[in-house]
Amino acid sequence: MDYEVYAYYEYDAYFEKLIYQVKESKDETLAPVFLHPYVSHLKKLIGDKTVILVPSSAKKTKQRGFDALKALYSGLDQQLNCPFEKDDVKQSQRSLTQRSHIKRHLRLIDIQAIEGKDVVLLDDVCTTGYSLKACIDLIKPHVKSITVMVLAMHPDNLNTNSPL
Amino acid sequence: MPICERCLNTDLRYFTKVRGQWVCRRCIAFQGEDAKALFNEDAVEYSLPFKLTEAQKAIATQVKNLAQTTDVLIHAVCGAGKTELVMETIQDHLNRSLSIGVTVARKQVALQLAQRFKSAFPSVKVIVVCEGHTDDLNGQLIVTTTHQLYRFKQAFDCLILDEPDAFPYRDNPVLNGFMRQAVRGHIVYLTATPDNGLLKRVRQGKMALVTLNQRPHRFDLPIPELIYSPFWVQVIALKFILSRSDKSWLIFVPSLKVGQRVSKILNLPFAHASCPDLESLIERFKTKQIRHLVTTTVLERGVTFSDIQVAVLSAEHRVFDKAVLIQIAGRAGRDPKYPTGEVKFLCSRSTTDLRACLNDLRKANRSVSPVSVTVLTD
Repeated sequence: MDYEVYAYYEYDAYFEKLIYQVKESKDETLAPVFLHPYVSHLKKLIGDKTVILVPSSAKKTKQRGFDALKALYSGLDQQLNCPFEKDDVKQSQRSLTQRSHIKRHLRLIDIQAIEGKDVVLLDDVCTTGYSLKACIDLIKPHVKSITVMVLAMHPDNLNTNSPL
Repeated sequence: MPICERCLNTDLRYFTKVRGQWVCRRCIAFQGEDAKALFNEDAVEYSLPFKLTEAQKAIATQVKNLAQTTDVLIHAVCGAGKTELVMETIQDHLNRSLSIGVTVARKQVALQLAQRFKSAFPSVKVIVVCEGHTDDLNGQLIVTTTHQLYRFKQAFDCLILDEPDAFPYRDNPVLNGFMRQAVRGHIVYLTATPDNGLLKRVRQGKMALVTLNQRPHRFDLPIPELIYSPFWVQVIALKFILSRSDKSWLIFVPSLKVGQRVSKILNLPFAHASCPDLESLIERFKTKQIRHLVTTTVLERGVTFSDIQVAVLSAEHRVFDKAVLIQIAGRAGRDPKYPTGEVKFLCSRSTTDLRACLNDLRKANRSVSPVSVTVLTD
């Protein structure tokens, strides 16, 4: 990874269970809780940078009835846009090799939103990091700077750059 | 009070409204991807115009719990508030979307009960099924006479049978059969005078017994006074009692013939089953327009009169068995404003039934705790 990814939590079995509850059991009420203790921190980190989200599958979101990522970060109380588009694939159900090909399923569709801006890229979980890398590669040529923030990081990737 | 259909949660903190639908968050994680946002917002709760005693509440909860797994016999003394004791069970079944019915021996009681349930559960469809009311057989809470049960095949998850020892249900194998085929779940028997058959099943561990020995106003049950004398002396004695008393008396006689004679001698109105204006007599006695009333056993149960004294002529007669005597004695002291009443059994000799009746009533008054639960295991 060329860029540093910040996280608030370690992605352990418990976190995985809770995220599953939000996304699959559709417990929307639980979503804002993760960010809650760190809202002011993240707001400060964002400052007046442009916030963008990693894409979710449109079909999944429709099925779910709500946008999970937006719900998770709803505590920020601001408009959260996603300039990307993603095909209907679920990273968690794929092998490592398959996952590395995620970039084939991602496209940047709204260049104007990020052109020349300082950008903060948000996602819920970083496991392999392939999804994030794919997004970064797509926006790299257009943006001024990139800060990456996720709620939870897989322990294998943990480095000393935790904001806490 | 809202309740989750799936996990029966009642803790309000777990309920949240999401995108217009109510969700129970306590069990949402257990359902994985099948989690559906549903719960019964229309949960019912009964409301009564008065408060229940601690004893009544305890019984009501016990019965509700027991009825989920076994037949229950509620042995509650006359005037203990039997109907209130089953409200909790009814509410529980309604909230779990189970079919529940209440069946009684007589049409009048059925109509009365249906009215009371309609007031207690205003949002529930309560229907009464009896002679003259047999068109609508669909309701959430069904009140029927035991006769009409033949229309319901394996229909009830719980059936409450009020006064199984009353006529015409008692000892009637046909009505008994109708009742048994109508229930697919459990039966709750409600009575002040359980017969040996029911008690035997309790002893065999096939049924739970719940006892309530206390009237809501907590006063003792009136104990009958026995007055021994030959019949004609009884009538004179009764005349004497009536003249010395400034209260209202209900006088029970063993038969139509005796009743006609006595009512003529004492110049009092006479109520009996084939009496054309029975309803009106009852009304007028209730409102004290009639001061004393002679009656057959037709008024032994199912009626509540305020502030009356009770007398029985020829109490040794075989028509007055233990159950009947207990029911008759139970007519006195029902109103909390008038919690006591004199009960006089005039008889020419002692009988087992008379002695047993007094025994049972004294025992009920003496019981240390007003509530007791007996569940014997096989």
